[in-house]
Amino acid sequence: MTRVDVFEDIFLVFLALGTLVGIIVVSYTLYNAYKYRDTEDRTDDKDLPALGELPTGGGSGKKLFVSFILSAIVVIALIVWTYGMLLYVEDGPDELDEDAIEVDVQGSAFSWSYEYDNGLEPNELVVPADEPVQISVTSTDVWHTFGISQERVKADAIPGEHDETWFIAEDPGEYENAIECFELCGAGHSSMDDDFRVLEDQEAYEEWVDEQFTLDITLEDEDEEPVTEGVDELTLVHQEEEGHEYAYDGDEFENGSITINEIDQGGDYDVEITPEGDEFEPVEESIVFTGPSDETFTLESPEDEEDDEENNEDEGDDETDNDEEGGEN
Amino acid sequence: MSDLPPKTSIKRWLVTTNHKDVGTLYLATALFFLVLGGMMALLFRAQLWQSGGTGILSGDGFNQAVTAHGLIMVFWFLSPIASGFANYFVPLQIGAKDLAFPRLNALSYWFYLFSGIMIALSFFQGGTFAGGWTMYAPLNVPTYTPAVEATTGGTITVFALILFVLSITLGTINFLVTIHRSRAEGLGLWNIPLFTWSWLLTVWMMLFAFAALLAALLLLGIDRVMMTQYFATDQGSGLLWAHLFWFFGHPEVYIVFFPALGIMFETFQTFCGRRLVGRKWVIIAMVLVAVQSFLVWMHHMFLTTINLEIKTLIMATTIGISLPFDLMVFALIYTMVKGRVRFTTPFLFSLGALVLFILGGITGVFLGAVVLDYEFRGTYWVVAHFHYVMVSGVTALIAGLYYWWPKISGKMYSEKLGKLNFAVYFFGFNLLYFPMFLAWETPRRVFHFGESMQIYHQMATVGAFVLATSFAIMFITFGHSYLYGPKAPDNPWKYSRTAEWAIPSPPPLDNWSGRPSYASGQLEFVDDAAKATDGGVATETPAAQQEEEHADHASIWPFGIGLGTFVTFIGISGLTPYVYDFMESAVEAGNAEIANGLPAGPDAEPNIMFPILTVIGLMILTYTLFKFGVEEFNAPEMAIAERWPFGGIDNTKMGVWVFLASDVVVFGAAIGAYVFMRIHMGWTEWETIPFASWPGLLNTYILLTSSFTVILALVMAERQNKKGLLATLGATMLLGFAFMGVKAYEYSVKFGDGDYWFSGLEYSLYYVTTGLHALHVILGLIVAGFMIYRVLSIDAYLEDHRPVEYFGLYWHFVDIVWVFLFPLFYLV
Ligand code: HEM
Ligand SMILES: [Cu+2]
Ligand SMILES: [Cu+2]
Repeated sequence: MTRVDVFEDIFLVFLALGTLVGIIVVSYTLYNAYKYRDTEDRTDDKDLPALGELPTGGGSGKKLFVSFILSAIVVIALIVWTYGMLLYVEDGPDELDEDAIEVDVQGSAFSWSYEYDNGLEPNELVVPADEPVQISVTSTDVWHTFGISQERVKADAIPGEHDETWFIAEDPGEYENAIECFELCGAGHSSMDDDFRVLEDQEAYEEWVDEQFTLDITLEDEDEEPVTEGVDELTLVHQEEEGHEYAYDGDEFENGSITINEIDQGGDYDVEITPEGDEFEPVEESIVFTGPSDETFTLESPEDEEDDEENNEDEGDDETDNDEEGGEN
Repeated sequence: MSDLPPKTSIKRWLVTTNHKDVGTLYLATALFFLVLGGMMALLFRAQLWQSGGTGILSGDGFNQAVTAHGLIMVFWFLSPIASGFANYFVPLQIGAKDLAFPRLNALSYWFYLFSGIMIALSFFQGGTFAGGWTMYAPLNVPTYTPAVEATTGGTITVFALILFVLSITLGTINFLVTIHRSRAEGLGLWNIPLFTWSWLLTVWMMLFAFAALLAALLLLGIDRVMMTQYFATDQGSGLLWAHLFWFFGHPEVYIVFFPALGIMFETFQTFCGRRLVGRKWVIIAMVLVAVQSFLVWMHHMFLTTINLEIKTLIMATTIGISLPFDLMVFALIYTMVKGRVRFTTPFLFSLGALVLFILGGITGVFLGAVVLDYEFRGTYWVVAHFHYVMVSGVTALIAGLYYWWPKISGKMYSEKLGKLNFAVYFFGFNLLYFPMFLAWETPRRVFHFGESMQIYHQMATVGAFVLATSFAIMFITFGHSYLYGPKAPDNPWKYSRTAEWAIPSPPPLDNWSGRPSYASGQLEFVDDAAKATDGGVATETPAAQQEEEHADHASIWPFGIGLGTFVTFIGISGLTPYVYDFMESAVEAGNAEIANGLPAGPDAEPNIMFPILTVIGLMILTYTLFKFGVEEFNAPEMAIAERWPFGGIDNTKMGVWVFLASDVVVFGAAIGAYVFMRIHMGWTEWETIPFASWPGLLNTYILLTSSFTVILALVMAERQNKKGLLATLGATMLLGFAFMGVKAYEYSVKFGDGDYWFSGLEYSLYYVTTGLHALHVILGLIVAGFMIYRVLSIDAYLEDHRPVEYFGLYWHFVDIVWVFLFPLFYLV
């Protein structure tokens, strides 16, 4: 059962009963007001208040209590009935514990960012249809509230707090501005929206994930010409998670480039390039790999030291490149 | 000073302390703020005409309008208009001549008016507060992010609220003493009219709820001016504010609704020609609501990280609190049955209020179901819900205006215009608020919404202008009546039963010619003087009668104190840039450390005007407080009155007790904040801030000794021993100074180590909590100094030693607070 289902069930019952009770009570009120309007021929002078009297209760408390108890039963029954659903919403569906997608959502004035448990950090929220998604929401600055109305999911984004909840999306599609902020957070609050994308199914989602994990690496020399020889090995090692170590031989590169698809954990990687012979200096760098990336490394000749800085600048450019691509895909 | 100038002179309104004058002032001022708040609403409703906004407001301008609208409507319109009715009619309904402390009553009004002027001024100092009427943290303080700029206007808003709360606190104390101790003979608590009952419960709720708000606002004000970190951190600040605010905020919704409810009860009785059905049960239901209102605040926080157990509990209490309202609604409905319902304007408004309240209540039950609240929180559903209930209250308050207008103005209004007013009002109301239910997926306080919502928002905008028109009709109706209306009789309403209708319209200054009494089971005006000369039994009454003739009505000092506080508060609000500069240079020079680094600075540059205003304000305050203190002002206690359950003490003593009760909540909230933050951080991770525990221990001894000298002072006063009284009061003061000296030493050692109030959360908690206590000591010292002056100058307290006793109560309280602070901050 999705949260949309839960909401629909409860809301419809509340709405039906609420409307019914509302109509009955309001009609009864207006009916009485009309029926007992003051006309000349009213003779029934029971309980007429008099100026300066000490108050005494007007009779018929019985009717009052019957109505009161009836209304109490309706209200209490309704709420107790919803309690089971609350427990379900709190715990989530059973699949949630096993292999649900987990996303850390972060609000900052005035945008949202997402970090998947596999280290991906795409620019929009992408989930498969019909699969439970676990989210954990926080904020880097002020209080926001993360919510996707169409999925009936919402959680406060409070600095220092991690508010966990879940949802299951059913209808594939791209939804513009479907993610909104529900707590006043400053001048840009009104337009703190984000797009939301639901993919066909798990398979489409995995495809998307694979696509995200595409790392293109290019090796250049100082003249920006592709390096075709003189490289022994390139290794990638995840800085935090163990078991994510990758090595590529010099001859796996084609015209100085290689496209790597096998990585399935995003994050910060140490890159080491070991030269063959003494044409180039070894390279030790670190890259951020949280979405499709294009990295270029310049291999320097041994005597040259000054180009170091330029090198770093290239790096920087590349990283911004990554982010944009992540977004477009 | 006793005689009041005529009502046509401006001076009259500056010096009056009469409850009816003050009531009139409250009503007029509140209606002014209704218009101001309404303008804000029209402004942002116009912006909401199309998705993305029509562009008449910027993002920040929109937030300012929304925030100011909420604050003004809740604080400067709704509560005060009820205060206006209460000022005018509660004394009349219980048979009193005035409130227990008329000058304090005038002071509450001036605090209210000046606080309103402050919020109006805040727009012109870099923009008013823009974080919503709920003022969530950390958006409400200069944070460590660029999301907010702390404008001086924002700080002025916070201090305006503080001034407003001071006004409420004074009013609360006054009404509690009055209603409990000034009821006419034979008028037991059960028998007071329902409007007075609802107001009595309102002020009881106010006493505790507003004290919590005061604490929250003080911490917020200090954060904004002194750059402390209560609400600036990611270590629980957000939740702390939410708890403090809603602990006040939920009772507040009943605080604004109860007086309206009281008016509904009164008008239903009168215009249905029938006594309220189940009166006792209605009163019990209201008492239950008042008590329970303090136990449901977390239903505004269902979406935060509070755990399931607490949510369940709060869900239960929330549903629990909605049930008594069912009973009240049914009581109103059944009162019509077999009645003689007359559709006068006040009744139409009351009936309308009932219908709207039913709808609002039903939609509230939706929110009480946690699963549904998850989806509704932060959306227009909540906006629609609370407008249906709160503005239903407004509807009933308008009923009150029409109901009591003839009594206040002495003129009848045109029923035709009144009915037109109601028709336009009711239509506009529903056109404005009902579409909000349909547009419920729109988040609150945004002007970007889905295309499909646009039509509803446009309906609402049209409705807003219709509703505004209805208020224009209302003002026209009253204006027309005032100019051309026929003279109102004493009692224009058949079947009204409360005492205000038994006297002329408008009532004379002294309300009654004789003494109102219900001793015979029926309102009578007893002529005590005549009785006494007849050889009647009452021997003490002639004296009382004489005393009452001396009753004073005029004092300018409440106005002066209001002015002084106003100027001081404006001045303080602009001090932030100075503090920031100090902090910045201290950090740069390496004399201070800040845990999270230097925060973003305030929006404004230092401006010498603000320190100057602070000093001028303090000077005015000193002068006017002194004059207030030495002024002869006789407000006699009623000689014969019903006083249950406070018959054993006199008015002032009860006032002091009530004040201390509210102060307990203020300190409770401050200490609660400490405990909350410390638990959040991990209780044992806390590092003790004072450099050693001996200064705390020493100060504990000093304060306990001073409690002893205060007791001795009372003994001396009772023995009429002037020298002894001077010596003991002097000793108390010396001990107070010693306490402050030790404190100053302790602070200076900390400063020497580079630890300031802005150094980190723990430091903020330590400096502010102990500072708040030190402020109480200083206030005590000022009072003690004044008392010594009075003993020296006019041999005060030798005849009547009670003021010494009251001072003692306060002093003991301050000592007891220290007994709690000492272990919390120095030992554990
Ligand atoms: C009939 C019983 C009522 C119930 C069960 C109820 C329940 C609730 C709940 C659960 C909320 C929180 C909604 C949210 O923010 O998620 C709420 C909001 C609110 N209620 Fe009610 N309510 C009731 C009656 C009233 C009355 C009588 C008033 C005032 C006259 C009132 C005024 C408000 C206001 C002002 C808010 C919104 C505060 C804000 O977020 O700005 N409610 N109500
Ligand atoms: Cu926001
Ligand atoms: Cu509430």
